[in-house]
Amino acid sequence: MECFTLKVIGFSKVFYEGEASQVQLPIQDGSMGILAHHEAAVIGIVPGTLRLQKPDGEWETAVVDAGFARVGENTVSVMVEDVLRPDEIDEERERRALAEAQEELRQKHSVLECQNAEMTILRSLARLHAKELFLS
Amino acid sequence: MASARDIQSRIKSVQDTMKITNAMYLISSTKVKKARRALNDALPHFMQSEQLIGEILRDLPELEDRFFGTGEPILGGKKGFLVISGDKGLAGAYNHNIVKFAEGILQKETDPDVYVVGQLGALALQKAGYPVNRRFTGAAQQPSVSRSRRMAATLCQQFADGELSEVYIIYTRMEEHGEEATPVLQKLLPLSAEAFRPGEDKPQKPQQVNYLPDAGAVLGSIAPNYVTGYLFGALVEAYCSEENARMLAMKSATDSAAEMLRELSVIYNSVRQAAITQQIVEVAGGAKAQKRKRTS
Repeated sequence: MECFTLKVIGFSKVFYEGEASQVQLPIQDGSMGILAHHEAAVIGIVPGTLRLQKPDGEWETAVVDAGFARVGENTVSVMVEDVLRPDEIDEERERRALAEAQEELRQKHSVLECQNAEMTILRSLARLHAKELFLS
Repeated sequence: MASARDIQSRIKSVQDTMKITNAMYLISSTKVKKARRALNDALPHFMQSEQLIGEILRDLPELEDRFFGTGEPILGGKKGFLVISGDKGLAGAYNHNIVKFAEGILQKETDPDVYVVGQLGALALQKAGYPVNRRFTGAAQQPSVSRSRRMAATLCQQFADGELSEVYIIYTRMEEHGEEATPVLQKLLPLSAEAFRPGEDKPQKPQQVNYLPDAGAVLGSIAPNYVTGYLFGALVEAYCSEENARMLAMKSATDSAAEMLRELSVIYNSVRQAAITQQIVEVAGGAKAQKRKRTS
């Protein structure tokens, strides 16, 4: 299988940098797979699960926050706010964040606070979901 | 001259202070190490997103987006300033420098909107008569992605609503080699397209690029994302400078305490010696007087 250069970078760390044969990105309406020599594109990423296949066929999973990916010249650069391995997720903490955000959403707040709460809900749900899927 | 007892208690108190400054020195030196590592880890995202935004701007020359300073200009908005200072003192001139620097800039503005990270900066600026619009607490001690995300959301929202026409950030930048850290002023919003010129080695011609789900949505999320990243980087850098300043301040305090102890012990010894000599003179004088009395 042909390979391309993949970079998955979060604010505070580089998750993956190297060759990959396939990557699946979480986007607004589901999941999108990218193979080598994909056409040039800029893709908005939503909180969810990113899967990448290394050249030796092994799959790796990352839980990502919102961000974007740029595809071009056989390179895919994924820039997200935070990126975690499924085992790095603190289930307790995410459940608490989820509950707090849902509580906040129920109160009458400014548009900004609602947006923040919604983003937190999405993020926590994505993390909990990933943890459930890949670790149990 | 002070009595030997006084000097001894002075020595004791200097020793106690030295224990504290030395402990603080050790604590901040480990924190500096940690902060430097965090700063290095934050760099790749920063460099890469700068380059990618440059490429996107090249591919979309006709882009009209308020965040990039194109499209219709905002009228009547205030200028926003985000000042990053420390929560705690005992960090040498760190807080003083950043506050003085910020005051120098704010003086020239007619009606600035001030946002502050860190207790000391907020108190000092309030005292100087600048209305502090909002304080972001906790971020000075522990820079985190979620805190910078919240800050960026507030600032971007104000900017998108037209409340703020420009947003600047004032923070302390870590010097590359020397120990000197300097406060800097950076324009955060609108993002200037000049700052994102991609390197010359890349082909400069625009490419046909697909946007998913669409160009507006993607670019609308890239700008706040970049701002969040920039804020995170600035917070980490300011934290690193703060701990570095504290480490140096505590080191020099420990050094001067050691110097003071050395001087005090010299004085103590001479006072003690003088007291002993005095006693010997008295005993000898007394004995001589007795002797004279007996012989006479």
